Amino acid sequence: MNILVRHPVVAGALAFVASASILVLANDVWLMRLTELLIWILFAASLNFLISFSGMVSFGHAAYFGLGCYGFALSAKAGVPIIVAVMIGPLVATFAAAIYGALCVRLNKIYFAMLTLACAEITYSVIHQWYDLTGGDTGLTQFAPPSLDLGARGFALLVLACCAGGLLVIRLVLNAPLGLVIRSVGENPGRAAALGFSQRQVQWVAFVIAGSLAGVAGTLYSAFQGNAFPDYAGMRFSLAPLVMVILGGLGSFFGPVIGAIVEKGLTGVLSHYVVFWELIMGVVVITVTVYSPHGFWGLIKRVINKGAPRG
Amino acid sequence: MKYRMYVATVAIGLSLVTGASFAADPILIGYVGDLSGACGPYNDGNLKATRIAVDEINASGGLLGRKVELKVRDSKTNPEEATKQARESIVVDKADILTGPCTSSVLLADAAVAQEHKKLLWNSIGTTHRANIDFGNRYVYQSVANSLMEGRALAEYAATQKSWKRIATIGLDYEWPRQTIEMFKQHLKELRPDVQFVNSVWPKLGESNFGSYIPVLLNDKPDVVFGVMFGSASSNFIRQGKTYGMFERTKVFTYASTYLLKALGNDIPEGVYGWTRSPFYGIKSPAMDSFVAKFKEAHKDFPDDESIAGYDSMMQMAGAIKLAKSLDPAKLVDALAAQEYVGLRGKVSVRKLDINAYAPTFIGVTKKTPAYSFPILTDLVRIDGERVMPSEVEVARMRALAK
Amino acid sequence: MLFVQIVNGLMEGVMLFMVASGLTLIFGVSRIVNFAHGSFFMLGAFLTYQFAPHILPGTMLGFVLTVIMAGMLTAFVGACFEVIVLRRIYHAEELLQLIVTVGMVMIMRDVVRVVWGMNDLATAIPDAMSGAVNVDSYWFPIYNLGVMGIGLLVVVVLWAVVRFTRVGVLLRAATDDRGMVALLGINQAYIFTGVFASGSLLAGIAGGLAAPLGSINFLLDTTVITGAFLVVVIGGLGSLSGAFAAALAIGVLKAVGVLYFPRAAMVTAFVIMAIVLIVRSFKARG
Repeated sequence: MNILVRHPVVAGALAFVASASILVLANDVWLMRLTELLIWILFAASLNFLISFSGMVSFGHAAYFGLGCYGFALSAKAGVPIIVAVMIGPLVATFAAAIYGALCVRLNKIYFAMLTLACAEITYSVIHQWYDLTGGDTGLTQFAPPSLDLGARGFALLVLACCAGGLLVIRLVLNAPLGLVIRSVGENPGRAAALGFSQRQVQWVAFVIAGSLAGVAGTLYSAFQGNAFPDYAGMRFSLAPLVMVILGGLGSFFGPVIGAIVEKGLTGVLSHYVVFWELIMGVVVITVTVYSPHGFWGLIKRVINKGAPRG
Repeated sequence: MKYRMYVATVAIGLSLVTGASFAADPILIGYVGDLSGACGPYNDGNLKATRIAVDEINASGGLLGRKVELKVRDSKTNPEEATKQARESIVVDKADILTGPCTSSVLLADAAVAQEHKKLLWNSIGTTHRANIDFGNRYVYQSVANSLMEGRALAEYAATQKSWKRIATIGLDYEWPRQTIEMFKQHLKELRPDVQFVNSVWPKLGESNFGSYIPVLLNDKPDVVFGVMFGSASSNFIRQGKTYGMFERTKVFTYASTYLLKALGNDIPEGVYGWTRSPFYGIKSPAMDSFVAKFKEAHKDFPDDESIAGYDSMMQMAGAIKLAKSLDPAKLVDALAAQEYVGLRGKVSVRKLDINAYAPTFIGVTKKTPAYSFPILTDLVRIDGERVMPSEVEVARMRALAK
Repeated sequence: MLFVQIVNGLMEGVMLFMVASGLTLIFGVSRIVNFAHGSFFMLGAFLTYQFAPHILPGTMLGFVLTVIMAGMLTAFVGACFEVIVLRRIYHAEELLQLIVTVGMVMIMRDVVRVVWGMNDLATAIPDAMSGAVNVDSYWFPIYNLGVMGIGLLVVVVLWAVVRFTRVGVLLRAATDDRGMVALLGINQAYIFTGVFASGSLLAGIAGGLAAPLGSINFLLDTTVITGAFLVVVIGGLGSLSGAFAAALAIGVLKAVGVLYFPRAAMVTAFVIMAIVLIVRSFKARG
């Protein structure tokens, strides 16, 4: 077991093969649930990249998710070939992240968070109010063939590929020289200057990467659900991945994966058996935050490390 | 989950009582409705009546030799949640056919899922013409007047009110009010070119404080305020309107379903112009009398418009299933159109072109009567679907435009 | 017309300030961004709905007592939350503090749903305060004017407390420098609990006053919190006077927006928030 913790790439590869085989074998019900879960993992991982490694806590990550949805949905509706439309979604998100990011990285900590929130609310309000283009509260439906014409299984595999690809990108970036700089800025903003980098530029790059990955997640979500609603850029969709990141555990690469599984799993199971499941979720969130800041991934690591010989 | 247990107990209870035995699997109706949120009360009345209809159908031997079962899910008056629940209903519960959407945006979201999974969806509460006319979705049956028909019917009525020359509009900012107001304006301008539309305001869906909207509406001294909203937004609008003297200063023409009249009671002034879709007090027939008695016995209350539409459309669908001898959407649509259905609302036939019922709209004026504890709409005018349905040419044009 | 909308906007602005003042107070002292503030507002509204029929219904005194009681209970819930949960996490990262309050949002939302159900509720304006004042052909509801009066009273009381009392001195000291208070020999924990309870009290009272003006439902929490953030950030986090000015400005902007740019009012407000923050970033650079 120890080797898995030490070598995340091995663990990741194993997880990928395992997930792919599960998807190949899964029935309709599980296919549907796993597809959604994988999209959430990607979304949460993109936010985790910002929070855990770049030291930026965004309250408005849904903006890029939502723009990914609408970028895809609107271009598909306008008659752009689907293969192009799925590219436009993330591109719109990336573009927005580049602009918003340039403004947001000027600020630190709570002010940074508040500005990301403002940017997300601006995006939400524009989508919500621009009725002629976006359909407002009614959203957009029937703009693309269901599951992109790949069938539920094919689409699930595509989502898995994107999710794994996204995680791999994050991993590669973190291990590249760029990633080291990003991390050092995240840990200590002063240090970057000493290394000869502008703190803001480094943060901006990280912000854009996170935004574009959220855009990929958004595009996939929109294709999966077959719709786009302003809610996708709203507060609820900003908080949900934040909760996942926390549940999974701050500061770890696999945290958001575990967090998304725990959040979606708990919600699914609890809402099936009890009426007041949200209350229980709330208690879990508070307990984990207060008593186990490293979240469920931290717990898992502790258990694995205990079982394995030290050294 | 309460609902699910409730369904199960009722189902078990029924089979014990009636001792009926059904050979094959039941026909499963996925009831994906807005049981909570702004639409909650409307769906509540609708679901109660749908259950009555299902019990009756099962008591008389079910459909195609199979029992009929309802599986209820809550879409929370939220189109995103509706998409999820509708999909779960089809994939997890294995629903054969869907119903239940309340707001028009939920209807549109459900319609997309129904089309994706090739299951028929019918609505009996919320309306929009976008799904079945503009998009030409062949998996949606509109059993009530769609927003285009309703908007036109209201314009027909407004055109007969000679003193209405200046009209201000207020609509919640989403599908149904937007479409209805648009159609109302278009049609009224054709009928009465002298009518002038003054201010229009669009509060957000979910807005409940109209303090900064009412003065703006009244500012242009309109002869009538045309308001398209529902549920607690309507109650708040009317209650707050009273404190701004709205009813003394202008006439009000708004959606006034039985639920709203019951909920507001004496809080709604007399003399408000209102429209609704199937008022129990406005349709006189033995079938209606017996349904009202049955509903009152079960729920100690008068049925809402949504109850009547729910029962009526469930029975109509049951007839279509018998006729089609199948649950295949295309065959069901053929059967719906071929069927001579006479129900609580009288004869309601279906046009195949857009799978829309020739459903009526009722318009009247609020008045207290000794018969009921709440005001009802009196001097009712019934405008049948035949009068306001878009022509085939129009449908073709709208579909071309939507492309 | 413009005049009427400005008055309407000021009424809404005072209401906004009532909510935002608690939020900014809490942030000023304990540096906690309290997402659950909207939930306390919601609780105040539901409690008012619950008590109103039992405490001298219809009278002004009864209503005021009802709202105060709702506010006190809300403050009690807030204090419990602070003592049981928040206190354990003051030393931790801001993000964790925030997430804890998000957990509280989830808990409160479900409690409200279980106790009061999912449907919209309404509580009537007390008879003694119904009706309207007519100026020209414009009508101003007495209740809204009354709420504005009460709100302004709260502003004055808050200002007096902060300016003239010993508690106020401590508060200002704590806002400027948390270590300072400890040096003064005061138990910091009492101050934090006290401030959180007062903030919740303000939210509860605001919820109670707002209850008769619209629907009471379990979605109030998020609707309210975005508006409150807006005001608090534009006013400068932690600043009461700033929040007051910002609240009035946002209220007027919204009301006037209905008149001239109905679709853009919310966007404009958030754009202002963004601009304020960006300008701040330039200032910070010198």
